[in-house]
Amino acid sequence: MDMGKNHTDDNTPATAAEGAALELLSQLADGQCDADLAGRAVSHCLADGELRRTWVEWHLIGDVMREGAPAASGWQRSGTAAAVMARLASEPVPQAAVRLVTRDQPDLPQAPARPIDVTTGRSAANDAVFRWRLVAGVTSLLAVGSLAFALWGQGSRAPGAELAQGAPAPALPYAVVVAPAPAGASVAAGTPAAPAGSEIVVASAQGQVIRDARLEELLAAHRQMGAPNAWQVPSGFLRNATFDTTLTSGERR
Amino acid sequence: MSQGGRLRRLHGSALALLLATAAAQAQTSGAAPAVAAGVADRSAAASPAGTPAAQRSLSDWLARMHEAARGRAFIGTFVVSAGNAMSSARIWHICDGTQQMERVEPLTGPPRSVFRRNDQVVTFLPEQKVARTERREGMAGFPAVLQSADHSLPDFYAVKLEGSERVAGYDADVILLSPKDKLRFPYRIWVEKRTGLVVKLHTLDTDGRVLEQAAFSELQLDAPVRMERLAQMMNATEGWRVERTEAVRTTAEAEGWALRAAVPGFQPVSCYKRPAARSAEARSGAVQWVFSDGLASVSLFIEPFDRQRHGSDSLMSAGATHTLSRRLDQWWLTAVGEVPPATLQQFASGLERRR
Repeated sequence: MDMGKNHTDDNTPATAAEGAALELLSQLADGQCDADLAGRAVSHCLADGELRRTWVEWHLIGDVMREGAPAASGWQRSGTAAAVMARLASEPVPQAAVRLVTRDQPDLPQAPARPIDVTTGRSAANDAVFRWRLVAGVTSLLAVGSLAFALWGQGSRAPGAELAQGAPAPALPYAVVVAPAPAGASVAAGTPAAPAGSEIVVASAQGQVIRDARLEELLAAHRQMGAPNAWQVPSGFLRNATFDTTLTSGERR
Repeated sequence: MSQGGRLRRLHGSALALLLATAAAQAQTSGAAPAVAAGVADRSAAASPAGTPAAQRSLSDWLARMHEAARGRAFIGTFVVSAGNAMSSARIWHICDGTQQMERVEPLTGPPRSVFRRNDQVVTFLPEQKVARTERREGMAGFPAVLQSADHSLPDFYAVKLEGSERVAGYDADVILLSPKDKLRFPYRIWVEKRTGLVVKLHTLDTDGRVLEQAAFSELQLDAPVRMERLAQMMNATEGWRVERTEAVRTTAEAEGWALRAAVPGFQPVSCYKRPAARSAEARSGAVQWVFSDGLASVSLFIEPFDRQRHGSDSLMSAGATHTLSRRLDQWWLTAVGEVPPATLQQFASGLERRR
């Protein structure tokens, strides 16, 4: 039989037969099948491409756990990682996972109170669906964790993007103060006054304020072509290269 | 299937995802290129190094810092912080006496790898599969502005040895460079005692508060870094879209700009006509006129005023970097520099159109 066409994209079996085949495969992976059961499991695999993919994936997971990066490289080449990451990206974020990340509630996310029996709709504590839903929860939790880490790591890049898109000022982590232009700050003689008679002073708590893409380009140009100083080599260069998140963020807008 | 087996698989899935993420990151950054190479251990800056720290002049200190990186190899983790923002990067540096090479793998922010060979810089942006190449002038030698006969840095900064501290496991002299006017920031610098390498740098405001810090959190001096391996990685642009960032050299005079009065200590060092901006709304390039006092630099960007893009005058700060934007008749000035706002205002007030 070809069960592949009936599988959902998160390995959730759509029928009891598919669930049984997956269960059998799991037993085979655990080394719990006798010769007869092993033969049946292999037969299922031969008939179902989705089951074969699942089998390979389980083994690759084992390889990753045992061997780390080399195995992961192969995993990535196989396209499985991309599929997993695409799945992660589309996964809704469970509220429980958010609570865990924010540590507002240190308890683990609650599993569904009554796992659902795929054949009857009744609860079944040992059903495969329950397992994959829990996996989905775990992966979502990882996604949230990764997102939180990325936001933490990228520091102030996000506020800049928000500002560039006209986000409301109160959401930004820095203060905007309107101050009168100093007397000595007028433009060169013979030129008209600036359109506005005040200057906007932006004090950044984040250390990086992004006004617009054009200004970012000028800041990058200053870092690139600005005069080297006595400690430019290497410290000045390292400082710029380390801090230069705008190099790529400008293009993303 | 047993419950144990199921639980093991669940645990395995979560762990494998974590491992795969780590592996993907490792792939992005590439494998560490450090291979034993036997880099010669030179003495940095022979004459300044021989002078007792307490007796070193400002010039001695600057020469010592500059020379420190020229004959050494090191690997370290570099951390830059300003306000609440923080970025870090893994650094590989090597110099064989004639060529300097560096590899910078930022650990924060968008994935990217930066390679430098003297003044040539290649930035790999894996998300866009773009390799951006550019030339950063003056990276190979001692800053020209400090070598000019009419420039005297000691007229604008005083140096004071404040003591010793350990940074990243190394003993360092702590020196304070204090400006003699309000047109520049003070710097506190940690200089590794044996080599003269700058291992930590604070840019302070005029009240002594730290505006920005750059420091090695971990450092391995005289590390086994292989230059040919770095060169191989830097040249591996096949399969990447190579973008060249080019700026055309010009002069302020040729572009019709002048300063009515010089800003004390700052000398013009270069002027470029930048190509049209990448941003869609910027249709014309800008002139970039660069000034330096030897430690701090200021860029004046001048472009035609565009009512649609250019708003009201503004003054902004981000760490030690300040930005002043101002309309000058039919032109729009953006002054950027690691200097106090008053310095930018002085530049803006003195800039005038000559034609």
